[in-house]
Amino acid sequence: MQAIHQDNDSVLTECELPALKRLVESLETRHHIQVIKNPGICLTMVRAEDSLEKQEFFLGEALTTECEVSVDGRPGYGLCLGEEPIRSYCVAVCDALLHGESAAPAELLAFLEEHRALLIARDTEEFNHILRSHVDFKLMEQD
Amino acid sequence: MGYVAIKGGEDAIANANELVEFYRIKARTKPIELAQILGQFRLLIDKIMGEGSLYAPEHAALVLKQNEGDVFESAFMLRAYRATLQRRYYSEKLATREMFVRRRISSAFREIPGGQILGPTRDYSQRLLDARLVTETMGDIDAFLGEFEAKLDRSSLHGVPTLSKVIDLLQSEGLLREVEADTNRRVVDITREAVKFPAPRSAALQMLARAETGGIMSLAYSAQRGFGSAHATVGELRVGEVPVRVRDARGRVRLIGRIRVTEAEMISKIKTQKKDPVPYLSLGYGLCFGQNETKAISMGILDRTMRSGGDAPCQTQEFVLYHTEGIESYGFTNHLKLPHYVTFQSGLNNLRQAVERKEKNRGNLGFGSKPAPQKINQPAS
Amino acid sequence: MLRETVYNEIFDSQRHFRTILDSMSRPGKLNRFAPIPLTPPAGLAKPAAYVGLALLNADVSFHAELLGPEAVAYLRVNTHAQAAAPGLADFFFVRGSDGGAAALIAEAKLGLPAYPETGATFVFQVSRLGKSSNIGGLQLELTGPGIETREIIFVEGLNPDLITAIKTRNVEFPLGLDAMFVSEDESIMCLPRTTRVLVTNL
Repeated sequence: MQAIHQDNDSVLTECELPALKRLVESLETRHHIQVIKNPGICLTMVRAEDSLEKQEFFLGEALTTECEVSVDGRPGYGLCLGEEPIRSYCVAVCDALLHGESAAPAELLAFLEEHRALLIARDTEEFNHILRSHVDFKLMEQD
Repeated sequence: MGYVAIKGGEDAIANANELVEFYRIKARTKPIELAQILGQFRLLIDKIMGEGSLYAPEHAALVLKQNEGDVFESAFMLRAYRATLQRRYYSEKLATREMFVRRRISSAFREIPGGQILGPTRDYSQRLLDARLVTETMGDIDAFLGEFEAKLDRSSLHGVPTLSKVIDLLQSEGLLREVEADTNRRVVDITREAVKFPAPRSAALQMLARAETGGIMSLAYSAQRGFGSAHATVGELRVGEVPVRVRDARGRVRLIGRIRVTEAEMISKIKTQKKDPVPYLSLGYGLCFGQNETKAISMGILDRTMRSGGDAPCQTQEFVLYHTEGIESYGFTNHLKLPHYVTFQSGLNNLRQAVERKEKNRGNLGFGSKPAPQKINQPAS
Repeated sequence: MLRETVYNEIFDSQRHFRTILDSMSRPGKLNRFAPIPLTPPAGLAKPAAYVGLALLNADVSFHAELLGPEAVAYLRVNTHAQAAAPGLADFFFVRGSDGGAAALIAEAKLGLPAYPETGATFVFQVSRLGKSSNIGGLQLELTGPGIETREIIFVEGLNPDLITAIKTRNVEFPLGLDAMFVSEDESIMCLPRTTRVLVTNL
């Protein structure tokens, strides 16, 4: 079994954007947030390797949005695929709060658990749909 | 002889640009929304991202709309767009074993750990036109989705598994070998360093991953028809989402999202050695953005043929890699439409002079001067 | 703070890039940078920071050790470029008065015949640049591509050994090093590898 969406970044990069935005708007009222670097797009070169000889190679680039903030003086970096200025800002804010000196706000932790559960449910359902096309071909000689 | 450029024509060019826009929308149909292209032209988006070498679904949808669906032009535009952006990150190596699998099959083994999953495919369809789509409504879509959802037995859901690879079976038996032990393993980036031949395998894989689908398919097909030998079997083909991770400014590994990829592991025999006459199996590797199985399989075949030695097109690295590079071959073919007036006139001058010289020489050699022009179509008297 | 927040990565860098490009195409021409209130650390002059922020990115490397660790950190953090050893660096940031930079010039890469553009670029921080002799320092007489007849320029705060060091390495065109000089009043003057330089007041 795969432990999916255990990584907080996995939840933050895939959860519903309006919900994430509401969370961060609420966090903004309780924390001092300074944008160090406005969300901007750049590229990530995706590295890959062949599965037998482990030859590394470059697969191609993926559009990425990055943002840097400071929350109560703690740095936060937001990175996500695509042109996603709002999400990258939200990820940066959450990153700062999750990796600061003090404990992360309960509101943020609750959000992560709620949306982790939603994403796991979403992916599990999708996978079970896919599993309906699981096949066991028989050879002609077989019954 | 150098190329002589033209100038002028600004007004005509501007008007041509306007005309192409006119023909794009003159039917006055509802503007296609990007969400529709993203939602309903999934495979086309995937193809453009692969050939454009930029994973950016929304931007792929935009260029498709802008170019009236021209795949070459759209891939070209994505390449041009990526050239305007700074590359800030290099991902950790993709782990396709972590894939959220949507489709995974093997034509080598009937029973594989985790099983064969056909997933979304038209491979087993009868290629019949579906006339119902002519009048498809939102109601039809809702009805289908409702029924589809209802088919899931929510009381006994399986968790999302990690599927081991088919090649693990062969490897555990010791039947798989590297193609050559002494291959140049240097990792080059062909977007930063002009490719030189023989190119290291890393460069070849990178070029194939962004090659034009039809181009690599035709060369891979030539290999199977006998122009260079390749008897490849799909060891495993998987399509699905894999996480992308990068190191952020503080050096921490961060997950930034998932991309859809297709991976093909093509199994074929390697040449037997004098020292070791066992016909071991080896792997040709294909991996590309999006769901593009034709491309991944062709890439897997060509990865293998280019390392097999021989003079067939599919075995010649330079031939394969240069001619399957879609943007260059598309660009060159289309540049032929640009004015070559001076080039052509100078060729014509040379030809006229050559004809003149020939005539003169004939005179000098005493074979008589110009023959009298023959009368054509004179009615017999 | 180390991290620049006032710099617009698109518009400011493009504006400064045009200034640098013009200086490179017209060797000896003096251009003034549009001012931006950057706050580089003590060792790194503001116009050198302009050059750094305009030209460096994640694909290139630099060497700025002679200006101190803060200067290195500043350039790395704000441009994503990597600090590199002298034999590998694409850009060098040094003080023009620092004779020690000659060793870096001797070691810097000149490019390869197939890739001459990989030759290194030096950014020299000097005190003053000017067209009139009331500026002290070296009088340089320049000829070569981009100069109609000859150009005279005065550079204050530049160790003549560094000019000699560059000339010794720029003998095998198209291989070579390109040089930029930035002054305290935020001007820039460039000597690409194609320019022939004579120091005429020594």
